[in-house]
Amino acid sequence: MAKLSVDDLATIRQQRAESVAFTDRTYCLICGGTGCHATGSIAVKDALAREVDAKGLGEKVKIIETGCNGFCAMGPLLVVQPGDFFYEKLSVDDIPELVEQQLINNQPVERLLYKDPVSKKVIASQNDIPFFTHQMPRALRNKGRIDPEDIHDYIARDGYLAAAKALFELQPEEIVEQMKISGLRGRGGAGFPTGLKWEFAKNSPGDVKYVLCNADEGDPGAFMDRSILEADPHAVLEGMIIAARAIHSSKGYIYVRTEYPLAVHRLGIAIRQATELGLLEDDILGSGFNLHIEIYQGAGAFVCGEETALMRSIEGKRGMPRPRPPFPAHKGLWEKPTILNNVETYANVPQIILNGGDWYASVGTETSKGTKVFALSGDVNNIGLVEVPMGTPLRTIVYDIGGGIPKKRKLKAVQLGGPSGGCIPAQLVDTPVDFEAIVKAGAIMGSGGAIVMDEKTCMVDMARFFMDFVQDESCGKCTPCREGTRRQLQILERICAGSGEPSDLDTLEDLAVVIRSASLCGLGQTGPNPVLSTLRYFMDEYQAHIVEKRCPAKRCVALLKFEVNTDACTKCGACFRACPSEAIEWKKKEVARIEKEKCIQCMTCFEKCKFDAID
Amino acid sequence: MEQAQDALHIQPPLWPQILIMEDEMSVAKGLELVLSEEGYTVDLAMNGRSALDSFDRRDFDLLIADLRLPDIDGMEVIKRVKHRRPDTGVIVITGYSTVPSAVEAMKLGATDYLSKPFTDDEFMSAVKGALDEQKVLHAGAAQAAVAKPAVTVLEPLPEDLQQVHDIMAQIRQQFSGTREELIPMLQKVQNHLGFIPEPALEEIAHFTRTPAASVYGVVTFYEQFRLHPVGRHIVKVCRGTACHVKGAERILNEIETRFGMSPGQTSDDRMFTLETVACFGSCAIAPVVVVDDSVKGRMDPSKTSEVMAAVEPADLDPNQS
Repeated sequence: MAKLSVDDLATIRQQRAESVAFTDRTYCLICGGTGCHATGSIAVKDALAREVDAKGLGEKVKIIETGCNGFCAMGPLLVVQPGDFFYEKLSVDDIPELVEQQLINNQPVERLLYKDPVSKKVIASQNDIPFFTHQMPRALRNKGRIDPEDIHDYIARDGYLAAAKALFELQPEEIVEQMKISGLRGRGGAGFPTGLKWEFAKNSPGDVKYVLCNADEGDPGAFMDRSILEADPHAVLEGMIIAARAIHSSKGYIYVRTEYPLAVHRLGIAIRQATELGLLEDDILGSGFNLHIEIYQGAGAFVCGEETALMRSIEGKRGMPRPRPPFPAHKGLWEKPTILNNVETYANVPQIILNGGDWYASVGTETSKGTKVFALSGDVNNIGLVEVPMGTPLRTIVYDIGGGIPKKRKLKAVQLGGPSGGCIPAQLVDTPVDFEAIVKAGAIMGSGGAIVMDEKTCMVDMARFFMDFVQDESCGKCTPCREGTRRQLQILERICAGSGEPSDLDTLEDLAVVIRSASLCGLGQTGPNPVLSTLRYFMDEYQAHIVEKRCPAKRCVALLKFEVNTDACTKCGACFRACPSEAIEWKKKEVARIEKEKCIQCMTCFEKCKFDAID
Repeated sequence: MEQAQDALHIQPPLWPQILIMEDEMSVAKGLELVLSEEGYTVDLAMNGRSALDSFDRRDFDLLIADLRLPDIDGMEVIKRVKHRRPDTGVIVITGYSTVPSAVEAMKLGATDYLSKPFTDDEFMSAVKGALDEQKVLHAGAAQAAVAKPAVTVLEPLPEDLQQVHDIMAQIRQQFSGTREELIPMLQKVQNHLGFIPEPALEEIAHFTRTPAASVYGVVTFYEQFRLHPVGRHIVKVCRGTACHVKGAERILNEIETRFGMSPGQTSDDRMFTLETVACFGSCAIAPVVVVDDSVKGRMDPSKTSEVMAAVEPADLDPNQS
């Protein structure tokens, strides 16, 4: 394939625009993210293609498998354009009706359209669904709109225009200047100003420098980076070209978790296509600038998300952090000046260069500019990817976008920042998403995992869960982190098992302070956060576990009685039908009873009972 | 990793739980002190009723029982406790020891019978004896509960080792042998064989001019690498936050009881290897189980068993294979 010039980019855009404007084609955008693949979107896509062929609509209908649409819980998803009709939870059996009605008769199929989980009303157009209307897609601007495996789709949406501008119109210092004006801060968690990082690396002496992309998205509950790589891989590549130009680098690595096979696959295709068109490797767009990018697959160590550990890992060593300084901008990969930015950070770069730093900084707060992507999950009606301006209150994310808490339960907390973060309690749900405000509330912005927890979540158990994760992933280099997190886990396990003592709370706090101040890297420095934030806001739950030997949320098995509360039991028999070990005695119009000898404490009856009648 | 996994599933917890049923405060406090100095977790009950209430609330590994109590006869309490939880250890302590009462206590399943006064040493050796006996009981029960014994570590098959030669030949063609290629090479071996056999590890060490110990250090540092063969199918259970909130641990328990595997283990028919993953990033469809490369969302314990049973239906039915 011929290498492209800047003019060719414009021609491709023009041709694409004309083909959309002058043909009455219908576009079926079917989501091909990991979530939708798991719920069967590939079979739905194949059925749709077969049906479209059978009805002779091949010319009129174009089926595109997009990357992650973002509204993952509703998959498999299909958006039909024009009209932006939003179909959810499709199955193969729905396809004939859909083709007949929507594609031939132009009549939307009401029963398959999106239904609001709260109002139960049908909302036909994607643009009217509250989940989308409150969002401001910037890093996610192409999600669900383009075929991530076709570079022309990306070019048609202004792709590689920013790279061209950076290569032909801007000097490296001008790129850095725009990045600084934009106020973009690293989206991986720490929030270091990106422009500043690039400036350090640019000014570091040396012929060999590296640009690295951190796609080792390890925080449990975070899937922003995976979705961006699956939906819009070229945006990340373009961001890396601009960064490389700014710091004079000609070699880049993308460090991707091995748990993300689809993202690796699509990145591989994107790099190949970009190389074929002369947008990567030697003489990019005829500018004389070179950048070679390689994918490096991680091997399943959480600590490799830390920058110095990640670099060790690329060097083929055990991924352990080292003290800083020297900072990677001076001595990074193989001791050469290196910048490492996160996937979401890079995805923002092309738009900043194209529209200017001022444009990016026009939304957000004083210290946090632009937008932030969150992976919203847990006990919330609408689960998926959410991009909002900085400064948006958490309440908007949970209630307006997320549609509130299911089963009429109450919000208890929102966990931000994964194992390095903390739980923001319901009473602080008006906290704006802003680096500093979130820290003040006891969590961290982190990479963007936002897990909503309802009143049935035990906060002591959550602390135990995160501590289990941290002690497991501690690389072992710093003793306070290696040993301290293990002690914390033991104490939390003891409390969950009903053997906690009042003095445990002080020990937990003492350990947290030591681990925080005596660990080299972010893992240890932030690891005790989940314990500290739950101690701060949910002391009453710790007390209930320790003093009353009771788990208020009924999650800690050792503290449950496995008895039916005869006053609350409505005699419905739901527990009886659900019990896998036939340990429940129940007859119509009678209160259920649990036979302790047969009970295997599997908790199924707790899940099934709608009346909270099992203690 | 495995230790943490194990710890999660031990309930009641790691420290033996002991209940002292004794109406005389000074005696009760004295015994509590001796036991807690040894690291045991101790609860006190001043009469029979409150002892039974304590057992209602939770399990104890050991009951230290006085016989003369203000309300219920101590022997009756032992009888009820043993009826409910037959594997609870019991030590009788009494100031009114008689042969018939000792016989009765032993018949009810008491491990030891101490007449007051006794020394701390006598008491501690009785406690340790009772708890040791219990450990044996527990181990027996745990074994009986497991449907199929799991093989923790599989040995390589001869055909695995034969393949090493071919894979290494490919690797020598594809890579140049620099240190930074170490992890990709190891990944390639594992992609082919499911694990990294020792001869491959040594050859890669030689190829990259790296000490074998360093290569071993890398292999053991990263969660992904395995040094032993795996089953024909790999079942990965996500233990991310969203999956945890939605019941991933119950899925692990189900696999453990039904297939007899803990994370990291392989079923004895070499069919499945069970692993956990910190997060698949598919939180929208939590809880997630990945069987081989196929991601299954919104799982529960019974769906997981169904999915696993459907992987190789013929293999599960001996009549067909």
